[in-house]
Amino acid sequence: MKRQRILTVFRMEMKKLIRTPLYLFFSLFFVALLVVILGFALGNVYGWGPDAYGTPRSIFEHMVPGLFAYSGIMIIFTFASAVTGDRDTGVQRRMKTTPLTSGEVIVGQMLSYTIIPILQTAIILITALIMGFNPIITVEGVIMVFVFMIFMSFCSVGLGLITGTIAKDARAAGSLAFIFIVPQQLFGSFIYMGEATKVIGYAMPSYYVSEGIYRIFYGGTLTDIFLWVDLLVIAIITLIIYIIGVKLYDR
Amino acid sequence: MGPNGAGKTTTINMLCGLIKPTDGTVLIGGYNIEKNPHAVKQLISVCPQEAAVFPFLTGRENIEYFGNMHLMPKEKLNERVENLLKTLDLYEASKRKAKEYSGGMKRQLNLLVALINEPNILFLDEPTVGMDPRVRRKTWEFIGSIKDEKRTIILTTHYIEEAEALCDRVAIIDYGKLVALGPPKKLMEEHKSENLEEVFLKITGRRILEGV
Repeated sequence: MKRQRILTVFRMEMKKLIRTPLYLFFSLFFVALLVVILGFALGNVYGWGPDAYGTPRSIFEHMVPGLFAYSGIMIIFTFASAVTGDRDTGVQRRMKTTPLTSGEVIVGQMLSYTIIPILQTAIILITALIMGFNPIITVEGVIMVFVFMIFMSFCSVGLGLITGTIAKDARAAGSLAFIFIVPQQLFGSFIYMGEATKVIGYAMPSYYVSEGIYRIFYGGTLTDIFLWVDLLVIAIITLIIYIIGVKLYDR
Repeated sequence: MGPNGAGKTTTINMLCGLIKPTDGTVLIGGYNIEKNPHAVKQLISVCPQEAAVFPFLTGRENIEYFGNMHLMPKEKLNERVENLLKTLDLYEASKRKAKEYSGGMKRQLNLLVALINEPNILFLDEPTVGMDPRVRRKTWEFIGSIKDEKRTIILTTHYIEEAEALCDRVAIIDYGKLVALGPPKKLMEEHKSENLEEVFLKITGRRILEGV
């Protein structure tokens, strides 16, 4: 693995994000916009009762941990579109005629998809705080939120790779991505579907991220064993999905 | 050379490792492409038929990207990029994103990207399709100058004039089979023709006439 090639892939991925308005909006600002809308609509509505630790919370506050996870889910859409875009332009095939290895592509992409969730998390957290989100904030807690979000990002990159590889073109990838997005959105993010559907959430990677962030912001302690279980589960799911995605991409 | 669908691009794809041959072995610079693809990829560069460049990167960034894939030192890379951009009149547009380029400019950029690593063996798959006659002439001159640097160029084309002007040896393939190979003059003598176009039509046209 060569650093020069890894950094080149990383820089290219970041430029792709910054210079493609669609990717930039969906990756960084779409969920922040949702936070503003939900903050205004549900910031003073208390229909869902107190949080799991007994503190009264508005519906908006109940939703915020899930909104973090939701922003990670949207990476599936942007990444799948980017993969098929590279394939449609012929760039992907051209790269395969250079000495660039799959390992270097993966590490370069992982670097960029470490930066993106950090930016996402910071933007959403600041927006949510402005809109009335009132969590227990500790330095180690915020670092842990970043860790959860990075795993969510890697998991979505894996799902994006699978989607982008299966889809015939960028338009098909955009539609196909919603097969992975909608179930996670409904059963593993900010939408409360009732206790009866909770069991479906257990199959959704984003469920564990939402749960983990909920525990960090409202429980306020990192000694909660269930927090680490959530992290372990999302790490295992991410690893499996990423391996499948890379195998398909290589083929 | 060969008619549409003869297998020109498929041949290039096999030679640069993009698809596996169903039979036989590809050796590039003494390396077997299937057993040692990494060594082969250090020696070659490919200019595909479609303008395979990143649309959101500038012309200069696209060339630099592929130079970095070949681990070129920064100073050498900058110098080479400058020279390449000046050669085909893309210097002025080098800071514009590739998606803003005209079709002909994208084709030129496509070619420059393939040249950044000064490859020993260069595959050009119909490199001048879509270029206006003026730019095409200039590109031919440019390809001729690369040939003078003693690099091997494998070029597919539909333009007989292009083959006559640039190629030391011409291979004609039809229905996936090599049907003629040799220097243009020798082919013309063998087929009692006055130019390559006649040779091409005699070889490939016969099959059409025979309804093969």
